[in-house]
Amino acid sequence: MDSLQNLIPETMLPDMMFYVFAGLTLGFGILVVANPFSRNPVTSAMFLVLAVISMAGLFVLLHAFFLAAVQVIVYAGAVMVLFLFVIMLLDIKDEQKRKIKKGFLLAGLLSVGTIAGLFIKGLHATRLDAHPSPTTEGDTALLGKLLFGQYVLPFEVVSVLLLVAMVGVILLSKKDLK
Amino acid sequence: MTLEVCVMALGVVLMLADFWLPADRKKFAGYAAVAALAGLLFLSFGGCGCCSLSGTAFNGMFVEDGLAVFFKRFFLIAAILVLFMAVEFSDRIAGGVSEYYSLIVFALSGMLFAASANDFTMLFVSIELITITFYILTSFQRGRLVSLEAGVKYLILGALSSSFLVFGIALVWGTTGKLNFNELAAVAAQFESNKIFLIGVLFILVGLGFKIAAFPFQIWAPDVYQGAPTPTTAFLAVGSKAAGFVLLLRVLFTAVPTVTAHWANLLIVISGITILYGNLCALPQRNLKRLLGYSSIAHAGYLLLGVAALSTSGQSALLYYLAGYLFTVCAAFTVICLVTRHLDNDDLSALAGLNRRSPLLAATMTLAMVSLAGIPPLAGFFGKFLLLKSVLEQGAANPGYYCLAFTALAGVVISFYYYFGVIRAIYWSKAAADVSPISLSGPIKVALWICIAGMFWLGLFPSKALNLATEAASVFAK
Amino acid sequence: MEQSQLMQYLPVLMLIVVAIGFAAGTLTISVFLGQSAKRTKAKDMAYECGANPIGENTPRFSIKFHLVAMLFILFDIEVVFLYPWAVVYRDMLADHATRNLILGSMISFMFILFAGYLYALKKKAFDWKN
Repeated sequence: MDSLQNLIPETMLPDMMFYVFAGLTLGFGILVVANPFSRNPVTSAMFLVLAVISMAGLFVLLHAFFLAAVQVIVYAGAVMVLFLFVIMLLDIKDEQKRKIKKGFLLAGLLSVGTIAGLFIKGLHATRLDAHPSPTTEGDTALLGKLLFGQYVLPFEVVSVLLLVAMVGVILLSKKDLK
Repeated sequence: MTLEVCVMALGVVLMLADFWLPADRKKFAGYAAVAALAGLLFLSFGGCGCCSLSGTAFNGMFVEDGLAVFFKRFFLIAAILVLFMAVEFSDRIAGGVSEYYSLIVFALSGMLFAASANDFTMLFVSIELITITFYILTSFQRGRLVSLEAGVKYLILGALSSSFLVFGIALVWGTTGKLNFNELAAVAAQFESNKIFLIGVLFILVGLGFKIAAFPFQIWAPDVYQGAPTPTTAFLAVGSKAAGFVLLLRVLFTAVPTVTAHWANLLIVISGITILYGNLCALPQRNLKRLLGYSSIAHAGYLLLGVAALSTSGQSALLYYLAGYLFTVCAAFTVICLVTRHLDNDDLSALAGLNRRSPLLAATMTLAMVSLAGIPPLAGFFGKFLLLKSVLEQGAANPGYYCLAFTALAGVVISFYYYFGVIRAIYWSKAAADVSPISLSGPIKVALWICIAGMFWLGLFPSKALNLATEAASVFAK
Repeated sequence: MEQSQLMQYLPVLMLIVVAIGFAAGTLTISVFLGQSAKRTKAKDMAYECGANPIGENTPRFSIKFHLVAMLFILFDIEVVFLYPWAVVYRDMLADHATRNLILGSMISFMFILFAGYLYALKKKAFDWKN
């Protein structure tokens, strides 16, 4: 451990890890939508899992440990299972054969490029602090205090939201609604 | 706060009542919901604690001011009229009529929260509650392919707009560290030149632009309006749009007023293009609901006039116009809902011979079209007049406003063509396949008369409603 | 403190690298060192008692799976909210200002979701046979 700490300067480690995780997230994200080796939606879904997990790594770097855990459990776990079920509902063969229209591809790249350009320009024009001090640590207790103190009203609205989603999924996908 | 809790409780009760109501009575649960909401509306005028004008709650997250009260009454009336319509529509819904009512009520509770939202967290949560409920309401007729198609389109574009919204909120939070509108307003001036902050605000506006169907985020509106069940379409056109506008007003004039002052030109351009796009695309439409979809885009443009004017008179004109729009659009969709009961499509030809089949429906539809077109003495005329006046008042400062006023006038003239196309289809088209009279139930007649009375009252005696609107808009003057 | 806290996670990162390296390495080595057999179309076919397999190789799932998965996610999210609640519950209960809030907020949250659960139960959403 000691020798390792001497090898890498302490301040550099989070930066390096940020680049590693950010690179992984981007790389896996690209593989989700444009995998040169496979057009299989299941493969895309698997890369989405990896992208989500790398993003959890970014949350850890921000000290948002609870969020990172939720990201892995809910998104990489439950939501991906749902994605896979939906993919299984569809005809994969059809999807693999589908040709991507050049026009749509161009329009998509153009719009994403515009937004990215806007961002890069904005980032250049803005002087960010070299070492921004985080105002909130991702401590679970702190999160709980905020959620059940200051943000208790949105929390209650979320319960109605979940109820609506529950009713909706039953109404729309129950096979024979009595 | 009591009001929201009551509405949410009503939603839960309606949903659970489904298990104990016999199948042939379920339809009438809608009238119970109407009665409950009417009671809440009455109480809000009585001022006994439900809607008293008093400050904020939950650390400034929930605000109860003139604007919030105005919109809460607006949403309650809208939900009542839509529920009347839903009862008439219930024979066309295969599964779960009670769920349909309760989802309308849940969407209403989201709108009530939106009216009081004074914090980006509340803004996002209430908008999501509204939108997610509408995904379900849109695809409710799951046996009809068009309904499902509309639901999927709304889902995908709605998710896209939500992602813009949440991204924008994250950027604003990241640069300023504030989520509360009032706190943000205090520091917004410092960040005026911060590009990242401006991009954040822009993204939030994009997200809200989807909700009100302003150009260039209007793409979903015609398809969704056409495919969704008619009561859903009406609620989407009135409730969801008004919720978008109240949040837009709060963000622009409470949270970031200093930024908004610089963005007048952007608002002018968006408003003008939205008006022209909506009106021009409505011209060739033969499908009634699609036509009203494009017309609702045009009306989003007219409403944006009041936002672009950046003045209290503009905001109060917007509120007044929304009130007139509520009665007009509800009247039009109620007629469509009744006329197309036994038909598969919503083509203009369905209206043929309506004046002989039901004079009341024909008269209501005619009045609605006249009001939408903006002809005196109905609500639409006075609203458009006020909006144009507020824009022209600003003309001295920025000549762009004169162009905008001219564009809006041109849009109004274009719109005469297709609105009168609808009236012509009622009175002067031959070949009515079906001439059997349409029988109207008692409650739906009440709903129709409410709409007619609303259109006339707002058009002939505007002073009372205008006072209310001015009072509500004075929130931003402080 | 911030950096040293992250330093604690360095072994985890190393473990991840070693694990990925081991898995990838073993697979690569087996390609190079192992004997590669000739691949023919007949060999690559799924084995089905001597007969040639017919039909789709990817079976389509029933919508029931989707329903259950979706309900699972919704209750999963509910549990996600319960966790931070449980962490701060004792502290906030001790504090006079927040004691009603902490209990009331979760009770109303659970009540609304319980209504949803009741609905799902009554509509037989958990009933696999139907």
